[in-house]
Amino acid sequence: MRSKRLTWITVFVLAVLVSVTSSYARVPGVTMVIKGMSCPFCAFGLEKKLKKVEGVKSIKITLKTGKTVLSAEDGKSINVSQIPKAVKDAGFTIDSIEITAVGTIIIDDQKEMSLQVDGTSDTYRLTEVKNPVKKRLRSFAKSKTIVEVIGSIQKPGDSITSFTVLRVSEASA
Amino acid sequence: MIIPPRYWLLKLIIIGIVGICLYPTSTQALPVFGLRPPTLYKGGIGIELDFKGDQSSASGLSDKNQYFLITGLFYGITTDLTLRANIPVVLERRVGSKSSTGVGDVVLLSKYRFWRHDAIGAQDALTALVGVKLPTGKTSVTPSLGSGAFDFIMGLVIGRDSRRWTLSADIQSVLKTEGSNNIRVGHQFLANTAFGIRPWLGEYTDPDFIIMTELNWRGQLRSTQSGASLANSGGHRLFVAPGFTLIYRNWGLRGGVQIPIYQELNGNQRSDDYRFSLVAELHL
Repeated sequence: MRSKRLTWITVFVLAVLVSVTSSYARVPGVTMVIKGMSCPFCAFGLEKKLKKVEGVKSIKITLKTGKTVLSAEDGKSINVSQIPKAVKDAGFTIDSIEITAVGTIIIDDQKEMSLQVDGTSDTYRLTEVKNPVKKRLRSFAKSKTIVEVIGSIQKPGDSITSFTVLRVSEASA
Repeated sequence: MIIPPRYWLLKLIIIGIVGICLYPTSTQALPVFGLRPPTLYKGGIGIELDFKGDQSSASGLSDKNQYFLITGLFYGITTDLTLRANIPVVLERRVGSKSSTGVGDVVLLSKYRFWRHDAIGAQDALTALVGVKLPTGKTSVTPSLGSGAFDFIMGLVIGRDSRRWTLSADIQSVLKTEGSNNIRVGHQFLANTAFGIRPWLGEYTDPDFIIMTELNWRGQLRSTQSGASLANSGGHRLFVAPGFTLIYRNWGLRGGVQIPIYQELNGNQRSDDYRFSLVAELHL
C-alpha cells in the first residue's frame, strides 16, 4: 500500500516537473543581422525561407539595418541549425546572430563549457567565457540549474555549433 | 559605310554585354527595359504580366503599331540560378491596313549569378544570361507574328541595389538564324544602363517606390535573304527611358517609356516613335 502511494507521488512529481520544463521555449528567440537586403522583394524571400524553420512563429525584418528577429511558438523551440541554410537559400548573408537558449551547462573533461539545450539533443560550445560569467556558469553546472543564455555568433558558417556568452541567468518558468 | 570585321566583333562583344543588362529577367527593383542582376530565391516562383507596345513610322511607308501581353514565369532552381519562360501574345500587330493577332515567339531563359557581394542594405551582383527564342509565332499571316527562326540570347549584367539607389549595366547579344522566306534577320546587340533612386525610404511592409532612368542602345546588323544583304535593314537606336518601380511586399509594378534620342538606320526603314512597357509582378 505504502509503495503504491510512493509510486503515485513519484508520477505526480515527474508530471509537474515535465509541465514546468516544457512551459518555456528552449530557443525562444533569435536576432540576426542579415546582409544583402535592399527592397521588399528581398525581405519577402527571406521571410518565406525563415518561416519554414522549425518552431518559428513570427518574423520581423528591418530593411535599414538588416535586423531580423525570429520568435518561437509558445512552448516551442526554434531549430537554430536550420537557419544558415534558410538564409543562404534566400540569397543573403548572415552577419551576426544573437540566440536566447534555455538549458543546462555541461563541463567536460577538458573543462570546455557547453549548453545542452533543454528537451533537445542540441549542444552548443560556449566560447570566450570570462569571469565573472565563467564563475556563474560553473556554479550553474554544478547545481544543474536550468539557465537562460544569450549568446552571439559573428559571421556564422553553414552550421552553428558554438557561441559567445553575452548574458546568463536562471531560467524562469 | 562598311565596317571592318574586327570592329564588328568588338561591337558584338560590347553589345552582348549591354544587351544582357537590358533583357527583362530580373526579380528586383531595377530596370524596366534593361536586365537586372538579382536571381530569385531557391524554390521561389514568380509571375509577370508585361503589357508593352511600340509605334514606328517613316515617310513613304505605312505606320506600324504593335501591342503585346507577355506572361513571364520564373522559378529559382537555386539561389543563383533562375529559369524563365516568356510567352508573348500579340494583341495586335498592325502595318498599314493589315493586322494580325496571336501567340508570338516564346523565349526560354536561364540566369546565373556567379558573383555576389552582400553588405548591410545593399547587394552587388554579376549575372550571366543564356536563352533561346523559339519559332512559335505564326509566319503564314501578314504581318507575321514570329520570325520563324531560332534566336540565341546571351548577356551579362552587373548591378548594385542599395536602400537609396540602384544602378545596373548590361550587354546582350541576340544571334539570329534563318527563318521564313530564307530571311535571316540581322544579329542584334543591346546595351543598357539604369539608375534608380528611392525618394522615400520605407520599411519592408511599406510601399517601395523607385524613380528610374535608363539609357538603352539597340544595334542590329543587316538582314540577309538567301545570303544577299538587304539594304533597308540594320542600324542603331538609342533611347532614354524614364520609368518607375513600385513594390509592396511580394507585389511589384513597373513601367516606362522609351523615347528615341538617336536613330541611324540603313536605307529606308521605319524609325521608332516610342515604346512603352507596364509590368505587374508577383512572387510566390
